[in-house]
Amino acid sequence: MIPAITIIAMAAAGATAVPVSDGAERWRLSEPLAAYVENSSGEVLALDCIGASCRYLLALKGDCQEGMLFGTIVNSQAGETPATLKCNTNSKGNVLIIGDADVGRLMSGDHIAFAYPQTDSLIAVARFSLAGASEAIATVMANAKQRDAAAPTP
Amino acid sequence: MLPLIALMAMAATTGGPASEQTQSFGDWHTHIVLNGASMQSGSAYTEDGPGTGFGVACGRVCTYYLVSPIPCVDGTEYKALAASPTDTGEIRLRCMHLDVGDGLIPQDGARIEELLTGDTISFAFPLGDGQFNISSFSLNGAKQALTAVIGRWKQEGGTVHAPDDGSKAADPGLNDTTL
Repeated sequence: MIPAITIIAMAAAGATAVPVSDGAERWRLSEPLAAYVENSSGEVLALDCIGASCRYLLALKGDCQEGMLFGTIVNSQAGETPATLKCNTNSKGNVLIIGDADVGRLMSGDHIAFAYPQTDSLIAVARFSLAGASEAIATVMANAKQRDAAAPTP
Repeated sequence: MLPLIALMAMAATTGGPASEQTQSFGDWHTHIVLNGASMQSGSAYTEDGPGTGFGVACGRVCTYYLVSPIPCVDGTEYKALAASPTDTGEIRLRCMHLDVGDGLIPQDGARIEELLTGDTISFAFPLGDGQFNISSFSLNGAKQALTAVIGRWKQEGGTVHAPDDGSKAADPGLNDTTL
């Protein structure tokens, strides 16, 4: 299955290549300006750049309503931080934009996880491997910078 | 689990005969220590398995608390996620080491009260390296139990919620608790 987030990131960036997962839980480039990791539950954490502007995105289980905001706590070996998730929907699925937090600072160690609310006051945790994250993120960031520098000035 | 308030009550009871009242309301329990006819201390609490509890304890003030089997570092403040069916938010918890386990004291009791809606309240504490401890507590009977303790405490002129000054003195009755 191609994760929804990957499709969205690819669609946003106009990519044509479709990534093929080999089942290993590690970060991959889905195209020059996007990288992602999919966990065993099919949830996805991605970095997506449009121009020089990069953001982290989540595709989790369940639905959300467009524009809906909710809190999360992000946790890795590097520490923890609260963040806000904003639901963005389109015809291809739901994606949560991670805002108000320097998630990049937490991209070290073996895993990163997000605790987020579900209905009936339950809290779920989405946990992702950080294997290959530093290389994938550095590549995407460098590509984004390079493309932005090469873009014609209006 | 021995409720935290029982320890507080024991610590606060210095001389003079004290009597105790206990009651249950759904999944919640109350424990009130009386000095004569006056409420000396009290608690309303519920549990989510061994060593895991949530409630309010009234000593010199009333303050919410969580007890977790997961060790925390005494005096350290942790960020956590709290969720009710209608609201979610980040809360700050200060770790307090007790002889019976580690207590986590929410630094904003009013925020906790806002989340006491619906059937359940849940908390997620980050443990590091992408691990969380998640506790969920039934709110069945919470309103009655909290009213029985906090209501009476207020009636007798007590203060509710410790000031958020980040100090241990903000949690009176807990830091000098002894068995």
